[in-house]
Parts: sequence; structure tokens; C-alpha cells
Amino acid sequence: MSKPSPITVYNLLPKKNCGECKVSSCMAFALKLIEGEAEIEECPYLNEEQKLKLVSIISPQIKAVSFGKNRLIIGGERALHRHELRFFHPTAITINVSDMLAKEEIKERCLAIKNFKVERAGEKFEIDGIAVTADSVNEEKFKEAVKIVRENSNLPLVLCSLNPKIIQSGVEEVSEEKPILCSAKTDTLKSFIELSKKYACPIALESSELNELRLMAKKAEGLEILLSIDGSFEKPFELLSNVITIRRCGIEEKMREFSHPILINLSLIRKKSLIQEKFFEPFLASMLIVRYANLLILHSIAIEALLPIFILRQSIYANPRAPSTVPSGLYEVGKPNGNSPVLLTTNYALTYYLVMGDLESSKINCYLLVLDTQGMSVLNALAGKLLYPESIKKLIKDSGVEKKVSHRKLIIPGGIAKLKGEIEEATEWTAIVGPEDSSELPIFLKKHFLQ
Amino acid sequence: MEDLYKLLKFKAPEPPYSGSIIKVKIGALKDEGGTRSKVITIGGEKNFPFFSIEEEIKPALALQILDEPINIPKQILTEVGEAINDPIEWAKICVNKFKSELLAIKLISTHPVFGVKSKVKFKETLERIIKVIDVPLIICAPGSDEKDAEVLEEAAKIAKGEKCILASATLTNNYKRIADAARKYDHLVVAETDCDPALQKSLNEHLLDSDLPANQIIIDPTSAALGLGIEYSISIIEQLKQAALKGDKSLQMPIACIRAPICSWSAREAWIEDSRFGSAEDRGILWETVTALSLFIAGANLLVLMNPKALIELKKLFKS
Repeated sequence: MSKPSPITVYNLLPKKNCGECKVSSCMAFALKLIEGEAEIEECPYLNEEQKLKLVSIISPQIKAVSFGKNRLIIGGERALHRHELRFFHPTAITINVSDMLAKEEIKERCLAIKNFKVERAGEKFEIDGIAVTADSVNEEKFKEAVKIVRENSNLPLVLCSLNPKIIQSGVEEVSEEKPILCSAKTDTLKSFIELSKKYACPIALESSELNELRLMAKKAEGLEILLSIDGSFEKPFELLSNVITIRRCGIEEKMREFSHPILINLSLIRKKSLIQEKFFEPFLASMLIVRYANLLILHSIAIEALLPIFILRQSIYANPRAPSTVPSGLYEVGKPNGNSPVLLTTNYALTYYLVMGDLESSKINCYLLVLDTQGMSVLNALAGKLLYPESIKKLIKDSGVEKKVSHRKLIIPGGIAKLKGEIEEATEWTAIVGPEDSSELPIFLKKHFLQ
Repeated sequence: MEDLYKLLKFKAPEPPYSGSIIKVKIGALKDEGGTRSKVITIGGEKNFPFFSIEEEIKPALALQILDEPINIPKQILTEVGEAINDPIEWAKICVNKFKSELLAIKLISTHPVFGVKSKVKFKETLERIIKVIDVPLIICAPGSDEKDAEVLEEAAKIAKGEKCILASATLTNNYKRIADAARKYDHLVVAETDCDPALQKSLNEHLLDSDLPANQIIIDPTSAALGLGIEYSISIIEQLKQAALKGDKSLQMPIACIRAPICSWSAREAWIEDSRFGSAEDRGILWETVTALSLFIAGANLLVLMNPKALIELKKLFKS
């Protein structure tokens, strides 16, 4: 990834250091622009010419596309590897609804999609959109299905048919909502371009051949485009390789035709291939989340298959520069008093939420000391020397826990058992080695503190 | 214009890198001083997986057994059955029934805290495994700074000439003794660190300084699985591989994920029996496989699993 130099960007800024962009200096603003953490519009003193120059220097290589009622943004990426910068807009995960289903079945599927909600580490996992699929190849039937879906869900829509007439019958039902029209082939491209212009909707372009796809993108230039590989799912790694090549062309080679978000319809696996393995869809989805897909259409809404996909997406799109953390300090669980147990954990958000969840489920009132490990989990913090006796001593002093409890007993994570002696020496507290997995905390606490 | 596009045969961009990963051969055949029936080579790549259209890449996959059944996830107990109590039988199931092309054996019985069996027994177990099993082996120390070097020295001697992978040397467990044993008895060494490129580089340099040739080193830079910070694992692999491909000779060894996929059992979602999360059996399979696949796509060359069903599912994918 090649980044513009801060000086180049700085020279296009007013150099007033006025702070009206909420950043202290123009140099700091330049750095934020480069990192994708600030927008050009936030500077009030730029003329159009300066703005255009800046856009050409700092725009993401991959264009952003928005769709659906709430204008969900996908794409807008700048890097091939997350450590080089970060990934910005998480892969949209959508579920297909076939127009061959009966009215009640469509309703049920919409309800199941709506009811899929899992909360993890402070983030809610929800399905991002619905792909209504014209399996019937019938205009009326598709129109009806889009209508039923709309009545039963507010989610952004992808309208799937290779026939532009069928797409038109569907888009008329939801013309204000900017659905994605999916997808145009070479022979239908002209009609799709007209639809895209008429309804101001993004279109997905689809081919199994990269050169053909490039030519289609060239013809549709200026519209909101998604690129799709009509892959043979019998060769999943060929599909993956094509996706990677498109993104490399977009970012490394700055090839305009390939600087668009990528859509992959995995729900076609069942229809198009002999592969009926149930893990095939989550496997491909996982690899495509690691490598550059911006929108996936899936068939399965089984939670055991979706959960790993959502967790992987949450991980990949986490900002590597700012590990997810919670503030360090003393937290109360329930209504603790002077005799309540005191536990230690780190400020990695995930660790904190897991430990907190387990403590809450134990229904035991207690205190939780959260140590600033710069967002590292217990074992990583130990290895990275961010969790050590002196830091624990300082946390105990600064948090005021010594005034809250009359005892001097600290339950430490099982993973740092070997520090027990050193912690006791530094803090003058008794260290009690807790379980390695916080899920065992309820049993541990009940055994040691409720007798 | 249109015609011009049609004439072009589309090509992936050239790799922007000049370096490549060293090829490392695991196992030794009869005429090479060992008794393995086949060997496995990893490494050799010049780019990230699937960044070049022509290449066909597969990871090396291994199943791990323990010489003493300690803390085995329920699902694996179900898959392996009675054999879990006998490492020889367990090994046979992995290789003969589940067709594991590499076998990892963790000598957990030698751990000063967790191990229960007599400390001498592991030698006997290893001797029998070498006789009964003919695929290349990964011999895993118990993960104790105090015992690792001693156990791996003994194991290296027993497996002399077999070109096993000795896992692992760390900055704190006497890496020099482990490197010396690998040189003396002709094995490979895993250099293990935790998600820190500087520490990995430093350990690799120490190993090279102790005269261990680069093609006898494999690196395992990560232990974080899905839901437990897999983003750190992915990024550390990509950072190391990128530095290697750009030409950093101290990092050009293949990457093995010996710990991370199995660590996925520490993620509560991998095993918890809670109907709100759907089938626990499927989650058990998916946690190991999704962790392994993500790390493979990021650039890992060798992955160690524990759930036989995870191996079966990944093999189906890579056969397709």
C-alpha cells in the first residue's frame, strides 16, 4: 500500500491551525485525512480546486457504495492488509429469500432474519440485508415477493435476477430505497445501466472472466457499481483467487474498472453445484471475509454457521491501531460490600465482556479491577510485559479499592498463576489463583465465597 | 477500444515482492536415514496465498494427540472414544481412519503441574509411535520453561534421523539446547512467540546464531483463535510474511499454527451447550476450521487440529 506523504497533503491545507475541524493543527488534520479518520469537508477553508486535488490524493482506492433505506455503506477500502492501515466498512452479510416460497414462508423467513440477534463484546450482530431472488423467473411473482419482504422487514435489499424486466418489476415496489440490482451480464448490461440511471440504484456486474468483467465496468463507468464473480463453486479457490486479483488491481495497480466493492452470492452454491456440504458456505464466507468481499449473499441462517462468520468479521474489521478496550479501574458487579471478593482482569474489551458476563451470571456481588494492558488479553499482556506486579500494585492504589473492602485478597486469572508470589510481594495482598477460563468463575466463587 | 479489451488476456499483477519463503521438508524416508513412508514439504511461496492465479496451494494439515488425556473437549472424546486413553491407539485412529498426513503428539505427561503419568513413560510412548506410525511427526513439548528442553532433547534422541518437528523453542525455555538437539539428531525446530514481530525476529536470529540452518526452522508466531483475538494472529502472520517476502532473511521460514486452531476450544462459543447458539457439534467443528482457514488464507503453511471432524471437513474443501 502506498500512502501519500503528510507534507503533500499539508501543503494543500490552509495552514491556519484554526482548530475548526476539531483537530489541533493542519498537520494533525493531514495525518488524519491520510489515515481515513477525517473527511475533507471538515475543513471549512478549502476552495473547490484544493478539494479536488485532495480527493485525488487521499480518496480510498476502492469506491464506497451505499444502498438500502438507511444507506448502508460498503467498500471505501484503502489497504490489502489490515495492519497497513485498517479495513473500514465491514462486509455486509445478507440472506437470500426466494420468490418461490409461499407468502407465509417468506414472512417466516423475514421474521427469522429479524430475530437473529447476538450481542458480543459490545457489538450487536444482525443480518445486514435481504436478497430477494427471482427463482420463479416470473415478473409478477417477483414483484409480489419484494412487496411481502418489504412489508415484513426494513432491511436494505438486493434484488436478484439476470432478467432486467424482472428486476424492473421488483424495483418499482421499492424505488425510493436504493436496492442493489444484481446482476448484469454482458448481454443485459445495457438494460441494467438504464435501470441504474432511472432508479438511481447500484448495479452488480457479473462474469466468470475478469477481462469481460473489466470491459463491463468500463461501459458502466460513472455509475455505482459492484463487481461479482460468477464462480464455479466446484473450484472455490479459483473464485477466491479472482476476488483477490480484482482487489489487487484496484489497490496496487489503481485500475479504475476494478476499484469497486465486490459482491459474492454464495447462496448459489446449492443451486449451481453438486456440493451439498453444509460447511461449504461458512468456509467460503470466512475466506472471503478475510480476503476482500464487501457484500455476501448467504442461504443458511443457522446460528451455529453465522456466529463464526460474524465474529470473524468483527475481528477483521477491528481497528488494529486502536485495540478494543474498556476504561481501566474498579467496576462493581451487583451490590458489593466490604467483604465482597475482588477480581483482576485486563482492559481488552473481549476479555472484559466475557469476565463481566460470567460474574453477572454468578449473581455474586463483587468488585472487578480492570488493568490497562493496552487492549491485550491476559496471556498476550503477560507475554507482552503489560501485565506485571508493579502495574497491579498501581491499579490497586489508584482505584481506591483499599477503601472499599476490608480484606486484602485478590483473585487473579489462572493464566498468570506463575506471578502469584511476585504479585503478593509487590501489592502486599494475598493472591488467589482463579480459573483459567472465566466461565468457571461462578463455580469458583460459589465454592470459595458462599459458605 | 472494446476490441482491445477483448484481445487482452487478463493477468494478475506481478508480485510486488522479491523474496521468497524457504522450503522445509518434514520427515525422512528410509534412504534418508529415517523410517517415514512419505515426506511433506512446506514453504517456497513468493506471495500470499491465491495472490497469483496460476498457483495451486494447500496447507499441510496435522491432527494432534496427547500422551495423557488431560482437558480433552467433550466432542473429541466422542469422536475418538476409548482410544483416548491409549496414545498408540489414538495415533492409529488419526492416521489410519482419519487419514492425517502428519501427526502431532503433545507430551503433556511431562508437564510438572498437569502431568500425572510416570515421567519415564513418554519415551516408551514415543518409541512405539515411531514404530507404529509412518507419517512425519510433530513432537510437542509440555509447554513448561523448566521441562521443555529436557523433554525435547530426549525425544530428539529417540526419533533420531526422522526429521520430526520439535515444538517449540521459545525465548524462555532454553532454545539453544533445543536447537542443538535438532542439529545433532537431524530434526526441525519450531520458533514460538506470541503475536510480536520483534520477539519473533529476535528468536529466529538467536536460533540462526546457534548454527541451526534456516531450512530446519519453522515459525509459530501466534496462539489467538477465533473469538479470542484472531485478528492479532492474522495480522502477525501477514506482517511476518510481508517482511519475509520483502527480503528479511531472518523471517523467511514457513509458518506453522500449532497452537491457534486447538486454542479455539478456549472460546466459549466453540463448546458451550446452549440451544440459543445452535448445534454444539457443528460449532466445535467450525471453530477449529474457521480459525485454521483464516490463518491459512493469511499465510500459514501448516495447521494443527485436534477434532478429527475438522480435518475431514477441511480435506473435503481442499479436494474440491
